[in-house]
Amino acid sequence: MTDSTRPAARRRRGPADHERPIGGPAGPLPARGRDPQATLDAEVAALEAARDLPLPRRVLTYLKLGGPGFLGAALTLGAGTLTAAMLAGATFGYRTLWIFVLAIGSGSFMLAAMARFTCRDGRSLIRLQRERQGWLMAVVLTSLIGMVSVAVVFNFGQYALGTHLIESLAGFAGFSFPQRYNWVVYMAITVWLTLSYGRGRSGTVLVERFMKWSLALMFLAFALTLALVGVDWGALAKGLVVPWLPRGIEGIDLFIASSAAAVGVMDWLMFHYAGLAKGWGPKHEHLARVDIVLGLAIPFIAINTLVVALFAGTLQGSGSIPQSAAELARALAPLLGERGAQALFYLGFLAVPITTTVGMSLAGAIAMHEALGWKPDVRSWRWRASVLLPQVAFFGAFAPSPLWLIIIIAGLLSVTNNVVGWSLYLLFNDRTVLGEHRSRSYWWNLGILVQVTLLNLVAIAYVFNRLGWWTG
Amino acid sequence: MIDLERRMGPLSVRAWGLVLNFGFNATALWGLSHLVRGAGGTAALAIGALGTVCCVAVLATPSR
Repeated sequence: MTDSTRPAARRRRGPADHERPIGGPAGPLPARGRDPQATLDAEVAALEAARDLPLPRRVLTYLKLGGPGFLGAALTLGAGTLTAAMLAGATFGYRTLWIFVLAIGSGSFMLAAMARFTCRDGRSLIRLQRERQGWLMAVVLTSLIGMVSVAVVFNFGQYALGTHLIESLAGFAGFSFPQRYNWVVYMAITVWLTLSYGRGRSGTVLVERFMKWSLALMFLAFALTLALVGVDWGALAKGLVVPWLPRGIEGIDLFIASSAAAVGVMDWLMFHYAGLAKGWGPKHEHLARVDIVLGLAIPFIAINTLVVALFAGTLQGSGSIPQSAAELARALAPLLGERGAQALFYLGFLAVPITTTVGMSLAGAIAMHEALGWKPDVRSWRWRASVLLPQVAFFGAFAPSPLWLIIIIAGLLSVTNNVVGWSLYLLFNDRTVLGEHRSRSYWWNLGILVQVTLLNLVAIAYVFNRLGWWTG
Repeated sequence: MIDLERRMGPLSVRAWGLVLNFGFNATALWGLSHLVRGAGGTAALAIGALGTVCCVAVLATPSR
C-alpha cells in the first residue's frame, strides 16, 4: 500500500507519540476498498457491538473479522509439520500430542507481542529492527534467512507433496495426470491466489476466505476419515495433557525440534504484516489476540491431533514406517477402505501444501521489499517478481529437491531463529520504541522467553550435531 | 534490583542477559547429552538448568 492509500486512522495516530516515524509506509499493504477508513470504522463498531452478544455470536463475529491468524495457521500447517505429525502418530501413537499444545502455547506469547506492535505502533517491524539493531539483524537474519530463503527453499517440499496428491486424486477420478504435467495446475492455483492478495479488498478477502475454508476442509476431511478408523479417546486425552518422550537422545531431539519449530520468524512477522495490511489499530488488539487463538492455535492443535490420531490408529506398530509425507499418505490410503474416504483424505491433504505455498510466497515478498527498501506496491513488477519467486520450486514436482540447499537453509534457520527472537523481545521491552505500550507484564515476558529458550536449544542442538557432540 | 535497561558497552544489561542465558542453555544441553549417554554431565546439567531458570526469571521483569 502506498502512502496515499494508508488508512487515515493510522496516519493520524502514527507511531509512539514521543518519536517521529522511522519506517514510513508499513510494508506492502493492500488497499481496503474504496474507503478504508469507513471499512475500519465499521469493523470497530461491529467489535464493540459484539461485546454484548452471546458467546457463539461473538465468536462468529471474531471469525468473520479475523484473518492473520488463519494465514498463520496456513503457513505453519505445511508439508513439514504434517509429516512430523504423521511420523509421530505412526511411531509413538497419541503420546506426543502434548508437544503441539506446548509449541503453540509458547508461540502465542510472541504472536501477542506482534499484535501489540501492529495495533499500537503501526510501523514495519523489519524497518524498526534496521533502525535500532542494524541491517544484519533486519535484512540478513530476519528478512533474507528467516523469510525469503524459507519461502523459496521450503516450497520444494510443498510442490512435491501437492503434485503427488493431484496425481493420486486424478487416479480416483479414473485418469492419469502425472506430477511432471500436473505441476502446471498447482502453479496456476497458487499464482492466482498469491497475486490476488492485496488487489483491493475483494482480493484480500478472497485469499483470507480461501485460507479459512481450506483449514475447514482439512479439518473435515481428516475428521471424517478418522471417524472411519476410530479413535482411542482415552489415549488421545492422555496424550494431550500427560507429557511423555521416548528415552535417550531421540526423546530430547523430538522435544526440542517439535516444541520450537511450530512457530518461528516467518509466522511472527507474517502475523504482524497481515495485521498491518488490514489496517488494525488500537481497537483491534483484542480481535488480534482472539485471532491468534481461534485462527491459529485451535486449528493448529486440532488438525495435528487429527493427523496423529489417524496414523496412530492405522500405521502404528505396522513395521517399517515411510519417512516422506507422500509415502505416508500412500501407505495410509488402503487402510481407509472406501475409495471415497481415500479421495476425501487426499483432497483435505491437498489444502495443506497449497495454503502454505500461498502464505510463504506472501511472507517472502513482504520480506524482500522490506530488506531491499523497495516502495511497496502490489501492482509493481517488483512485487510480482518477489511473490512469484518461490514458484521456482516447481522443479520439486519432477526432480529431486535440492537437498544440499534445504540442509544449508534449515541449518541457517536453526541457528538464527533464536537471535531474531532476542531482537523482537528487546524491541518489545524498549520504552523508546513502544512507549507506554511496551511489555508491562512479567508473565507475558516469561512466555516469550520460554519460546526464545526453546529456540536457543534448537540452535545449540544443531551445532552440537554438526560437531558430533550430540550423539557421541 | 538490576537495571536491565542500563548500557554495558555495546549492549544493554537485558541483551547481555540473553547472551548469558544462551550460554547456560548450551551448558545444560551439553550436560544432558553426556548424561543420556552415561558419560557424566550431571554437574553441567545442574549448573546450566539453574542458570537458565535464573536468567529467564530475571529477564522476564518488564522495564520500569
